[in-house]
Amino acid sequence: MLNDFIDSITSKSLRQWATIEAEDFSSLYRRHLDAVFNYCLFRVGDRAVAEDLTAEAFERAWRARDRYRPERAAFSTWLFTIVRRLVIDWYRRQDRHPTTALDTPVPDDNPTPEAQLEEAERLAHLRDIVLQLQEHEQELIALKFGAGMTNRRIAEVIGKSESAVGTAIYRIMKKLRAAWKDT
Amino acid sequence: MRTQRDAQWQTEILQEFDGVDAEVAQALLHLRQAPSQTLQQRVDAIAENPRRRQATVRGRRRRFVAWGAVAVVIVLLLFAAFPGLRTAAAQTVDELRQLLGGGIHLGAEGTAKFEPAPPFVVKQPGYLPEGFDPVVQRYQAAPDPASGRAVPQLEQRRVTTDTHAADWPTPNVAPGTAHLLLRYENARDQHITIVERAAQPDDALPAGRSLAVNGQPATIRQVNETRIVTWIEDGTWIELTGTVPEDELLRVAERMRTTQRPTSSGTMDAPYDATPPPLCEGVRPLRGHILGTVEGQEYKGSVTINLFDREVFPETISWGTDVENGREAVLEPALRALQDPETTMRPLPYPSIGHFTYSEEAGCLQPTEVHGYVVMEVWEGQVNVGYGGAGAELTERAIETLERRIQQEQP
Repeated sequence: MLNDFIDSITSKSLRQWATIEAEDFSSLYRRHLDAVFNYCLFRVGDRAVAEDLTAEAFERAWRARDRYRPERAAFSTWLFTIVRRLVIDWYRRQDRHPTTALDTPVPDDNPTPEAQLEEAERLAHLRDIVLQLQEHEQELIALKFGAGMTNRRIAEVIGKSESAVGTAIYRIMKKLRAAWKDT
Repeated sequence: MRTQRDAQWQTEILQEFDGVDAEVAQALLHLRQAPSQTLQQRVDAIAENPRRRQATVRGRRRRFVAWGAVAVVIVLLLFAAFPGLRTAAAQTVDELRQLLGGGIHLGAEGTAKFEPAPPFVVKQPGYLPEGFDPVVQRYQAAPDPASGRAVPQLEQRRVTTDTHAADWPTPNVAPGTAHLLLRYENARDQHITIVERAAQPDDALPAGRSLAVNGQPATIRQVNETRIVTWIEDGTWIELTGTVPEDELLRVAERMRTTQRPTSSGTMDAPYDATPPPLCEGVRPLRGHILGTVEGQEYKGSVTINLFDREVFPETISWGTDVENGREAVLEPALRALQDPETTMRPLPYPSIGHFTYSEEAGCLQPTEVHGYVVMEVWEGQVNVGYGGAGAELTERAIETLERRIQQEQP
């Protein structure tokens, strides 16, 4: 009797829990792993931390899959709500902004080691500039270039208009350009 | 290694930028890295374990049953051990019941009756769209006429357990004014909110499209997804706000009916024309050009945007000008200045611009500490821009607010 009662209460939820099962999850994560990881990397500036945050994000997404409503938002929008919250929490725990450098990025299309080194230094400097941006600016750059989102999707994720996102990114690019060119 | 899909979206991103920006964009894309094999394996493992999957569902059911049973047993044991506790619990339930039936009685169809009656004709909806239920019915009395002191919410009842909704401020009502707020919501988070107060002799309807409600002049305007209808009927100023379609909102407006009239007993004879509270000591209203004057140039007007950290009415915008066609002369130059990354924004020391909050303790008006603000003074050939609080970081919000205002001002 009690079990019937409990079943009647939870059956709806159980059906919902079953909506994203392991197979779906695997295919979803494969599609978004690169975006989530690079978003985290742009935000925290440390590869190991970014990997931990990415794994934790997918773990939380899996645990919270019953709360995902496909009719309300795209999976990526929902997923990035979790990821952004995790990054914010991480900053709170650290009580600092990143100051350590990433592994030096090395572009693969330069002909000589000297040119590669020079280009790597320029990229490292750009990465430092990104890490010194204000939080909301860094967020937009991470979503745009780390997660590879369109302005429309970014607008959905952060709850702003597409035109506001476009304007903001334009301003940040100008800021980055000015700071980068000073080198 | 880039996949074909990666190459496609990265190309699309690069096409959004040109010149030097494209070079920066290209470099930003070079900062991306591939997730390691270890990370892929870690994420793979999350959903791979079927036992863990089943355990999640089973575990939730078990925990639900276990905690429920523990709670019931504890309550029964406490009641058995302490008979006085059972009596106290029964009394608390009775008191709560009395409290809910106290100052505001709920009648048929969720209609509220306020006791004592507000000093204006109370109107309530005779029609609500299907699925809407009352969630907040709140009454704020006017200042005590004997002492002139404000009376902090003499009556406030929540029909909702959502304390956030119940604590929403009543917008567009001056401090110390007797007013009531009725709010209705449906399961889809749509709302219909009504604010009423005694109409003042100098009341003017806010700007918006003109129409008639129950034969009275009214205006309707839209802020984001919210529509606002304002009119004066039977001496009551009524503002009806809703996130429902316009025809539904107007149907609610047309079917508002009188549910209560002021009592003749004098217990609530708060003055209709209560003198506004004074500014607190040391508070000086800002006058003149706070960002300085520009020699040899004609002053066109100013725009102030206060930004709040709240969900309801998160921004206020005010602007003023003496010149004709203020939209072109003031609003549009202000927007261009705000959008221009080269514009210098000067920090200002004020907690807000032209926004005050009534301090019940001090009995006077204090400047409101807003999340941030942006103020623009528009001159013939330049726009001076200042900000306070987090105003500089909230420029995009300010731009959106100003864009909406310009749209509203379109002829």
